Amino acid sequence: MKKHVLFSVVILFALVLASCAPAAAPAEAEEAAVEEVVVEEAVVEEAAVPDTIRIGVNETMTGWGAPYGDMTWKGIQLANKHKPEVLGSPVELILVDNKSEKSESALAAQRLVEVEKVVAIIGVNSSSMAMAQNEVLDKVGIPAIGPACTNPLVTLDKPYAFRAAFIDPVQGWAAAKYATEEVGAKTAVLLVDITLDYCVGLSNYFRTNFIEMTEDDHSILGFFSFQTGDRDFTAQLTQIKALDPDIIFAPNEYAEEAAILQQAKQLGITAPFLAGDSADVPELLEIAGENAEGFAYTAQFHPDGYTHPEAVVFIDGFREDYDMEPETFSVTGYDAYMILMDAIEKAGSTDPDAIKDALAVTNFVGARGLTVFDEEGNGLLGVPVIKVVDGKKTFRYIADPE
Amino acid sequence: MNLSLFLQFLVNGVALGSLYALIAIGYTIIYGVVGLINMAHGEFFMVAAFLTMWGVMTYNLPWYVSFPIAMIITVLLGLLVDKIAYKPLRKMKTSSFIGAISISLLLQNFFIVFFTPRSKPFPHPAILDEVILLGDVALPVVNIAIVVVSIILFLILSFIVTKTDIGRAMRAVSKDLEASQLMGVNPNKVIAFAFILSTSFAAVGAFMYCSKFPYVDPFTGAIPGLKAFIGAVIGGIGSIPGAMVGGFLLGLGEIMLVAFFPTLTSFRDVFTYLILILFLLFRPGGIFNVKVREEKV
Repeated sequence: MKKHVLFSVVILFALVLASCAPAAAPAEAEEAAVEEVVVEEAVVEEAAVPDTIRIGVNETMTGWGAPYGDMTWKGIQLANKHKPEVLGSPVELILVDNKSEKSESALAAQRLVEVEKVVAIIGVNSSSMAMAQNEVLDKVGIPAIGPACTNPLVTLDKPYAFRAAFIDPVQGWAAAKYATEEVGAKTAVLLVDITLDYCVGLSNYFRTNFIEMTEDDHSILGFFSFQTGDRDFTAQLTQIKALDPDIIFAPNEYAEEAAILQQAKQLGITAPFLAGDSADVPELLEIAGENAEGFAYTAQFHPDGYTHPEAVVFIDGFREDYDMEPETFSVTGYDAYMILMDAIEKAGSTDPDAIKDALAVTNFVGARGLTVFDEEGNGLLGVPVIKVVDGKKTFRYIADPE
Repeated sequence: MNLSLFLQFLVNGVALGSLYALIAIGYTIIYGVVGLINMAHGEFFMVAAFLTMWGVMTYNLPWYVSFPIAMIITVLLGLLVDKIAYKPLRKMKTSSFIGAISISLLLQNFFIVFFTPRSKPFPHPAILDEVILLGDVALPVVNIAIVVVSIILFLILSFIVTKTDIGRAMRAVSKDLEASQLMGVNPNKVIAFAFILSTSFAAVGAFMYCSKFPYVDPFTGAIPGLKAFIGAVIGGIGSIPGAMVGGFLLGLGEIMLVAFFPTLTSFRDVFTYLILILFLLFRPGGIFNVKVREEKV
């Protein structure tokens, strides 16, 4: 009897876990939505410029991605304050929380299109969530511009998907360049959250570039993994310590990264850690404290790296409004909004297809300088490298891929 | 693998195992007395950690003031939840299980909405960040503290259960509710006491856990709660030594799996659930082979 009860408990757990795990987007629901929306779209096209221009924002406001969503939303709001109108109509932002879950992200996109009738969407800072969203939007033909999502698959073969960020192959290249040229590393180890597309993708690009730059097929000494939400990394780190690499590439979310840095310090690991732009939130330094000394990462932005007028407007405005330093997520949110407004202006209408065509030929000076898209809709931008020195994130240089 | 490397894994594994054991006891106390699998246990754990952090962050209290307050609030919350959510459902086994899951989700979302979903640093005594080096083996002070605190709490608990009236009453209620009532035991009092014990263990466990893994957010309780529950089942749910042994072995096993099979790091959780399923299929009473009870809720 009890055996059965307990067994059903396990099954229930499995179900709960499955819903937490990166699940596929709810396909049937989407499919149904697609058809409905196509019909409605025809009506939208006939209208001229509406009284208010409705822009959807799909962000990770709760769940593990909350700090990212929050910073992105701050950037978007600031941009909205700097440019509240386009084509003579006020812009209305409609924020939907996707709870940092893939299936919720697809549903959020669906809701923005069907219920809120938005003409374009800004979102999502996380690659996994952005993929789920774009799967929906590409079918209904609503353009989306992503902030800090960097996995190449977000925009691949999706004509309606763009992003105000460089992609992970570029970031992986910049990280490997920093590791080999600045640190002088000959060997590296990877420590990666395997439940997130971003972490897995970026670590692979780092691996390829690092092997190429060191000209040694065996320069990656090991690959260690864990899952989002894990907090004990001592087993992996003890293995890593025994391998004694020159550098450890660990492109993970901020909380896990902070715990990794702390446990590495406790275990006496002296090799420096290197990560990607997901490390760029204030919480990382708050949690890791002095354990983060010497930790470096590639980011989308650092206020010390940009001095052109558009950057100054953004940086000063951000500091004034929020009393904090702008970083990767706020700048990509800000630029995503500005680029979208520029596209709507050039399109001269709020027709989603016209906006999409205007976005494709974007040539806009944002907070990170001139932004253009490649043929897949990815931002072509330099990669600032940041290092933690004396407890402060310090700008090193911008790696410019040509 | 050389000796110092093995010892390093042992140091890590013993600390993680002690943490799981500490949390697993909370499940087992409630199950032993009420027969309820308290799925909200991980959330009581989170509430204690979260409120400790909140007190320090918002009201600038030192941790040694903030933590006892958080612990008291957690205990009161446990009693309140029992009274309004579990007690009315006590006769219905499945409903109280679902009720516990609902409470778990409710608490998690309450903290997301009214506090913050962002991970915040957990305030803890600075001494716990120190590391003692024994040759090549790093022994963090926090690991020692975890093991010492766990042992002290186990001793206190076994004293309560074996030597005090309320402890004897707890054991009586867990053996036979009706007979114990006939002998003059007030089951409501015993159940309330079980919740006080369980939530206190959750609070101390949370403090030790978050001192070792130094951040807290509304999701903090989910994974350790789940792992500790598995530990309790492996040990034999309802049995206090069972929860200790089960939780301890689970934590140690997780670390040792990675130690001996470094390529299997991604399978750490698979290993955990696999062990659980094997136990449920072939030895549902757990290591301590707790008797299957038919009737209790």
